[in-house]
Amino acid sequence: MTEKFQFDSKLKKNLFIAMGLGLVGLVLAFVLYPHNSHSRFWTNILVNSYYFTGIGIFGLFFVAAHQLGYGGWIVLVRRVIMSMSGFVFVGAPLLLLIALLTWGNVHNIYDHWLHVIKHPESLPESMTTKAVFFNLTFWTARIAVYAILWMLFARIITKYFGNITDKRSYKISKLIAAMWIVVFAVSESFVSWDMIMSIDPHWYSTLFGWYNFASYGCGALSFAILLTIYLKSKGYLAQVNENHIHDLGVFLFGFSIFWTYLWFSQYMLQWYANIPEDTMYWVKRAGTGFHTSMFVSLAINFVLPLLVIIKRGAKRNFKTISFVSVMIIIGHHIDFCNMVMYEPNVISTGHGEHGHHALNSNEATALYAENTEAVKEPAAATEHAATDAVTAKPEVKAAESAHVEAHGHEHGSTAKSYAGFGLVEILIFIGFTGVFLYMFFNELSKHPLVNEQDPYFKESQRHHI
Amino acid sequence: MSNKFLIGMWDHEEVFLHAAKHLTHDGVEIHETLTPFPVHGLEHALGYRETRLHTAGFLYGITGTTMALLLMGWIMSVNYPIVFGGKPFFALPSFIPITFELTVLFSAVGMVLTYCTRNKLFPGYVPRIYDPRTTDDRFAFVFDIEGKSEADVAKLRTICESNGAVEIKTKEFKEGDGL
Amino acid sequence: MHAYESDYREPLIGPSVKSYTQITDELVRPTEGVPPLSWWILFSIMGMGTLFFLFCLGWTIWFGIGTWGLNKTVNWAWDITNFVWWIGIGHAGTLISAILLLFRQRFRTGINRAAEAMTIFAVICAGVFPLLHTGRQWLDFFIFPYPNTRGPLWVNFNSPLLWDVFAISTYFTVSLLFWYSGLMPDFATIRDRSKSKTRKFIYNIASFGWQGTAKQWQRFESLSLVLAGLATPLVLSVHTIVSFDFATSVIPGWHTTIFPPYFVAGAIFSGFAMVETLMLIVRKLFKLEDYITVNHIESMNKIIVLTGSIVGIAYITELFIAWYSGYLYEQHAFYNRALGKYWWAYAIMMSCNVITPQAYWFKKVRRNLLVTFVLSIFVNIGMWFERFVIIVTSLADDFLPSSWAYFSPTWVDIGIYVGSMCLFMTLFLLFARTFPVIAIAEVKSIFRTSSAVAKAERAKEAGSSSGGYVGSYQVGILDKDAKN
Repeated sequence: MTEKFQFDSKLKKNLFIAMGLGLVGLVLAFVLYPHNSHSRFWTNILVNSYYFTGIGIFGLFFVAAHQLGYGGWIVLVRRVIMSMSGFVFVGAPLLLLIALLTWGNVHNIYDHWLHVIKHPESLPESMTTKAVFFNLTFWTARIAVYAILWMLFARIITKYFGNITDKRSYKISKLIAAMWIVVFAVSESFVSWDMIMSIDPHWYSTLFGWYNFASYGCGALSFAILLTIYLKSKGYLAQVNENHIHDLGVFLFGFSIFWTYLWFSQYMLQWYANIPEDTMYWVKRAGTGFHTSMFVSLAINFVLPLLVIIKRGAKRNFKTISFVSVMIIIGHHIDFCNMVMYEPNVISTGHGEHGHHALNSNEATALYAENTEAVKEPAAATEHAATDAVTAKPEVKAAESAHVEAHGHEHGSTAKSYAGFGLVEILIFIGFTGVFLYMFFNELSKHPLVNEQDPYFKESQRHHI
Repeated sequence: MSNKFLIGMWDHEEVFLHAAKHLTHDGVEIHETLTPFPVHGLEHALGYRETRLHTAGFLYGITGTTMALLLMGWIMSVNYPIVFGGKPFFALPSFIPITFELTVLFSAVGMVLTYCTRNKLFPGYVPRIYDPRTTDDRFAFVFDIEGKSEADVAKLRTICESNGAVEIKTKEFKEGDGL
Repeated sequence: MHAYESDYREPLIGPSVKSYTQITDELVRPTEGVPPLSWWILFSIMGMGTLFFLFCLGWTIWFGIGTWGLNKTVNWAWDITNFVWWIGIGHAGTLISAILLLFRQRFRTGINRAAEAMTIFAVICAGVFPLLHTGRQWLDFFIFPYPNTRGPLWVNFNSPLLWDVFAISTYFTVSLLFWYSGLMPDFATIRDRSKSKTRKFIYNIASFGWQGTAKQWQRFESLSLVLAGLATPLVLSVHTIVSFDFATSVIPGWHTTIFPPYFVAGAIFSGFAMVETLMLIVRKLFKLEDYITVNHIESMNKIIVLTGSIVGIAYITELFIAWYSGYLYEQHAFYNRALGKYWWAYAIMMSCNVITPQAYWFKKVRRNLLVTFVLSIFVNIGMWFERFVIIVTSLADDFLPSSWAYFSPTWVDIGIYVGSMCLFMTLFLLFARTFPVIAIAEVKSIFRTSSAVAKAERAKEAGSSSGGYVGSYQVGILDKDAKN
């Protein structure tokens, strides 16, 4: 029996409706927020491509890790988890497109460093490293390499892992798994620095790659749970039972805690040490309404799984676990918006019609100013503002962070942020979910759902916890 | 307290598990079930209720969380408010590590104490050893035969035999043997 | 009906183990009779070392911290290095018992008991250092928050050092509970085998009167699962908090957000190395080749190569971000680490932690016991130097070039460190003599699924001639290995 998934037209129609909504969202974002070269439009594309691509490659990582770690239970749901990588063939090119469009100044996402590296003469000595790292050709080439590697491994793994039948293919699958884990570990860290952390080139956090990895994990496991339950409801995967969902739920729980652990480690260390370069990142977000979204994402991504799916029964109840999964997918989307949206959507008022070009040159100076300042003297005022803004009452915070903004952008100009989480974000997210699911089902329908020849098939069948 | 027991012993856990299902199904009253290691699914076969130990652990944990936050909050912002490193008095991020540790500590210690109490485990407790091999390689059912007729005992023996017991014996304790 | 396990899994119990009684016999035997001569020799050497350790402690307490090699710039050196190193070593025990339990990795059953014991002994050794470093050791109880008569005067809950106090004591307590709750059934096994009354009496006390009823086992399983669930985040938190000691500061090279996960990975790495070192000795000393098989060693080696690579990536990330940050002091700190006056320590760290474990990518190396033994010691050395590099290089060159200093240990420093290893070994040897080194009940519980005999039996039933294991190594080869 080689059961295959039938991608029927009704499902396709629903997904096309979702994509249509996304298209509406994109048009709205483009028309309604023309500031900063339509930054709201572009940042949304970046957030979604990045998030869903991450989910896809995490799926590959997850099956590879199980292959190396003798995880036998996964065999029945392996095809579902692997097929999430279908989106990589849309997402990775989109990320590359964003990188390429940087060349033509079509969007302003990376303007903060872009402008600086175009004028290396304005750089202080301590900033030359950034000019090397953000050499536009080198940077684009890196992203191209990740995109190619991901697509390559997505092809290899989805093709190979479903056909393990004997000792030889089993051994080769382990080899592929080991190779992919190395590729994944390196490319995943780098892409998080290249595409997300670099949006604010002053700020750096060594655990940022890990943090993104944990986010992918939460998203991917949530989707795996939802899709498995969906397929079961359609009569597929009859042998998958609540034990498999339970195990995925355990992983989801674990990854949610792991994510929180990393969030806390990053936040607490920067809050505690109170160095301006570090705290600016948080202060900026706190000052522009992202404070709320930070707590919303913590509530969804930490408190919810902690309270709800810690119980055995909850992980085995399809309704409960589905609800939590949906929430976590949304929660991590909000978190990525939190990381990406702020910088490009800030507009410096007081420069009139010059718009974002004025902002660019301004920020270039700011980059210089902030850094030399940070090195030469403790920048007492900023530091003070930074501490207070994180801890003080909301109204104080708003005032203080406005002060910080002004300080950062010099000349006493005030900054206004168009970043937000509104209708367009929701519509675009729905649209990308549609594309993600379309690519998933498309990939899923190509292969048999379960490989019954797999050496661990029987273990997975009898899986009981 | 009864002192006379019939002990049926098995040497293979899967046969034993089978026997457990049969005996429970037939409504045979089992005084005690002894195994050298946890047999997967035995508690279901015997119809035991889920243990609520983990719920207790959760409650102990919450107590720890509350205690830690209350204690630190009171000390740092009421009883002894001193500014450290420019941090607010109630510096929540600073309190998280200890809160977490105390949650785990309370939960673990509380659970182990509950576990020992419920399982009657404490140093010096002298249990009744029905057969020393039940901690080695024998799986055993102990039946209370105090005051039971010969016929009943014989019936129990047949049940054990037909379910694959490899050894059946009786054992009598003196009053005060064990507890 | 048999419990099922794929034939692609290598047996975890050697082919000569045929019954439960044999498991009991072979695992209890080391606690009975007179220990082998090799044990006595090791024990007396380590015992003397422990006495020297106590002497050095006394010396430090009597003459003060001045007897150490600290100077005004490097005010923390070997003591904190040793502390972090020992805590790290302890991590493998909890990891094996907790995380591998949650991941249902059956290979843990052969090694968890000894690894958990190791955790407890390592934490004892670790705890000595910060307590000693306080200077006035007789006032060490000040670290606990307790109502006192000195006005409202409390410990500083904002201090990562205080978090450490809570983390380490919780860790010690929970590990002890976890370990001991697993030991009770095995003590009962020893008790029921004992011929002498005294022995029966002692082991009955140790077993807390364990009987092995189905209800007890049910609660036992629930307890182990929840304790494992608690110990997993706990073990992460402990080394995380240790890393906070450094990372919350604003010292270049210390203030970096990757410290928490990277310290944890390093701890697991060094812990597994220590487990391997000890298990290879124990396996030989007590002839437990059938229970600690080459398969166990290979699995541990895989974890070592994984965590070693994570640590390697973290080193490179740190270097990269230091460069990327454009922050001069940070850049200097890392330049200084790799190429400064402590370059040799950095070189030892890199080669022992990152380069040599890469040999484990090859199956032949992973299964070679001699290489494993040597590499496990390399990792222990490398991980000690990692902590030394992080701590001493960042301190030695502070913000004021005129006070830049070089740290050299005194004989007291060395004596305490080497002595702590002897203390650790002494405790471990005593443990190996009186406690069941391998969890008897747990090994029995996987006998029907994962032993060579059970696999062969299943294969015979299925009519296959592969000997019950179709991986790359046949039972026959394991057989040969067991004789080595």
